Amino acid sequence: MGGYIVRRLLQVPGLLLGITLVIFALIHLTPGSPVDDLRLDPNIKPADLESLKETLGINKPLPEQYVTWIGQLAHGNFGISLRNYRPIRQTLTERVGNTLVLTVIALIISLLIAVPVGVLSALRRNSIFDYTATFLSTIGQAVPGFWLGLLLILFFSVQLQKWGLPWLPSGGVQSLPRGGGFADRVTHLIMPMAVLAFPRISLWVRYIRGQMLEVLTQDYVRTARAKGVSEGVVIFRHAFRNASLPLITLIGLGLPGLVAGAVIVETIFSWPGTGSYFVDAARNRDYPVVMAAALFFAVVTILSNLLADIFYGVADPRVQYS
Amino acid sequence: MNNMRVSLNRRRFLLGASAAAGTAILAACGGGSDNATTAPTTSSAAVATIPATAGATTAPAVSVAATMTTGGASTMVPAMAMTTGTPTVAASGSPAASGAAAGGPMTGKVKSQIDTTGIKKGGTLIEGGFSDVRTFNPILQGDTTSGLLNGLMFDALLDVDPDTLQPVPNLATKYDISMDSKTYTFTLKPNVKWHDGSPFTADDVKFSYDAYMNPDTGSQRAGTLKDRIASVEVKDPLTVVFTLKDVIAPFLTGNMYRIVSKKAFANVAPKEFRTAPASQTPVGTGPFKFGSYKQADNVTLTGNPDYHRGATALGTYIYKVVKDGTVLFQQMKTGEADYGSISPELYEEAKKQANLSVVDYDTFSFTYFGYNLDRPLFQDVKVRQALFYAVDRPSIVKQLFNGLSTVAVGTMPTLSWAAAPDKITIKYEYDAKKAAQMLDDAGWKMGADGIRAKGGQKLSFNMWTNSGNKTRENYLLVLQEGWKNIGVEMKPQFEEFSVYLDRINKNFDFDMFLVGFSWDVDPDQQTMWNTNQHGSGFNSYHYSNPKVDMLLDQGLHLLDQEKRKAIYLEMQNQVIADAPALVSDFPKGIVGVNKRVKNRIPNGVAGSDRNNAHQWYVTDGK
Repeated sequence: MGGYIVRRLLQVPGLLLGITLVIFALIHLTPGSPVDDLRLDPNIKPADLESLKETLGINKPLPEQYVTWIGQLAHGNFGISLRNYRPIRQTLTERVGNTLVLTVIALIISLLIAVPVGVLSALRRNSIFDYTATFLSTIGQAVPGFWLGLLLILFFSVQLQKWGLPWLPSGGVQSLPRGGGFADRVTHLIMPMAVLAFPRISLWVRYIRGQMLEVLTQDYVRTARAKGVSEGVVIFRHAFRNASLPLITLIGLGLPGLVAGAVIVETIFSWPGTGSYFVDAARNRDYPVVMAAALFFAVVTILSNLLADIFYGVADPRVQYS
Repeated sequence: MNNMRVSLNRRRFLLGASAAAGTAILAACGGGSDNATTAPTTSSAAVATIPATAGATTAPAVSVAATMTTGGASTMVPAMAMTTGTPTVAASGSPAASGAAAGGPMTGKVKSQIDTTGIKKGGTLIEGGFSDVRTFNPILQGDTTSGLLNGLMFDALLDVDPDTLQPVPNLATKYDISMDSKTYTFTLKPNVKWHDGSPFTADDVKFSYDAYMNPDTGSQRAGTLKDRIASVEVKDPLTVVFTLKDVIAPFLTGNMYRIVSKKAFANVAPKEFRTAPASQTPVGTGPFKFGSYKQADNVTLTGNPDYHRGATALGTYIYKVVKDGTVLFQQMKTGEADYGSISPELYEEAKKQANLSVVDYDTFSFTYFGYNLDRPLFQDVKVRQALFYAVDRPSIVKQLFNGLSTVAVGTMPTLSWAAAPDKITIKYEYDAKKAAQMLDDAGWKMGADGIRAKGGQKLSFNMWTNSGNKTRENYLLVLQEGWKNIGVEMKPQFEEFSVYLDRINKNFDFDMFLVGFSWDVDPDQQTMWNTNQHGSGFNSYHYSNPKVDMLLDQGLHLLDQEKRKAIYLEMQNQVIADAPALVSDFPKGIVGVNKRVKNRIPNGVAGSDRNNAHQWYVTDGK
């Protein structure tokens, strides 16, 4: 196992270099430049844009720009954004923090709900509970996040306030101007978290239910029951453990999404996370930010795939890495 | 979602960027000073000094005249008048001048809404906007949001009065213009302090303009300013002299940028401006001091009790980023945001909200579409005009803007002092029959397929706009329908903003295009119509008429407002007859304001809604 991990890690630098090269080429092949939005200002001359590009260092030959970027990186420096001139690392730290709070909590809540619901649905197949869960999870996967988000705001913020009831804040991380304590932050989290968790719960419930149904009919489950093992042990030790294997893959592959943020949820709920930061950067051709994002995601993706593989090995002894 | 919408609207960049400008004089009459109550009428009194404190101010009426005197050399101040020997005043006929003469405070539309008596101290105003601030350094700024916030923390020498469109004093109490109209001597307000307590002096003004004119800093104004300004010299700590290279009419309304503190940038090389600490934690002279900033979240400013035009009423001003327009509207309903723009679709619903005032106002922005005059199809002016007649603009305004736009007559925005809709010879009022007749006369005969043709060439072409802007996309569809009815085939094409810009302004690979724009306060329209603006400006159609070029140049280099108005009328009528492009409509701005907020009066004059930021207040003091 140890050797396997080392070998996988050794591949990382080459992989990263390749990824950054591809992204660098792609973003520069895309038409446009970071100063495009200034082009419609008649008080700004084409010469001004040229000198601005020079000041920003984006009119140098591409290989030179790439080498400069790699050089900076070697010193642990992502550079500064071409749009707001702030150090990318500082922004990234701030934004990743916000995003993680939202996504990790959403992930945990999703698991806490999806696992029992999925298992129960399978156990009580074709019961009212099962039908309800299936129905809700179909909706959960069909409903677009932005629509659900707006609907929640309309009800839990606007309508509740109109009725004179306690209501939820419709956006932001905390109340302005002073921000509240822990409770204030929690109330700000509820709606964005719900919008993030709902489709995820829906998906996982269906997976778990399907897997459980399959596993429950297996011979070893019947054997376990025949041995007189208690029902709880049968379900969680024998059945769920096997049924959860695909779930590990799903979660593992979903880990990069935790730091990538959730553009739509962030947009609707004015949540200053990484998703909108990176999407805006791509749209504005903020090259250094796009590069930092690519690198960051590449690292996280590689690591979480590795993590998923390792967990797989732990959960399923049949899997051997040698 | 609003953040997805790419807007070609110049207003976004200019609102803040070019900031403020103002003429000493009008200030006096128009509301330069906060509580102007008396306006001495004599012309000689003119303007000279305008007490800039919030207190009662005498407002000499005259000044405006200066800009309109016939003499070429204009001056607004008595001193000047003496030097030049020209009586400056009377000539003008400007409403401002005459109004002032009457001796009362000008009650412009905006001015009259400002309540100076009931101001309450303290409390927080929360404004919501779609985009995050990009820089707290006015020298680097080019976007609206940065312009808004920097406008609250920094002052310019002059502001623009939203009612009169004339310059009014801010950091400068008055200015003199030399006989040749090329040298401007600004007298600065004494005892103005930076937020760090150090005194504001002429050195700061020179330092700021030198930085604006140095492209190494990342300034986007260097080219324009270097074309216009020969030098900025400090005469004494309260006097600064700008020498221009030519007579530049828009100088006072277009080039009065925010002044930064020289001390804050001491030891900062121009190339380091972008990352300097003073660009992150700004030090200004404005009504608000920098408080805190959380990226993509909020900017918090605190009221400046020592503001030079009177203590700022608000305790705190917060700008918060709300990326989606619908959500921002919900936040205004719940009171989580006090102020924010509202899209035309939400206008009716917003008006029903008990806690909101919904304000719509004219702006300097417009939608226009133009031909590629290098294409054989559009050589005949009759064809170009005929297509304009076939556009039902009143119904476009109704359908696409929910009525919140104005059909354009001429090229000048409704708000401009150069607008003269009554005197425009061709109004292009919707007349499909006339359009069809004109095409018949021009030899374009209806084909069996419903498309006109002439000499084997079909009257069929592509028209482009940027994708993602629903209003513009629908605009094209409406045009298509209208032209189809007279036997013209237009194929709408939408593409991404950057690519589209290259197409219309670099590669010129289009038959027709549609885009939106926003003007400065000054009516100079070089960039759209002058021959030399093909490629470098926005004469994408490759229009060239020596008469128009001449008129535009005359207008740019003349200070007399009445003369300029006549010149621009002639220019408009010529352009409209030549029909290279049609300025189609002038969309209005719409904002919602919580009723507890007073004195935050939206208007469409670049940045001037912030002229009275120190008087903004909230009735509940919260």
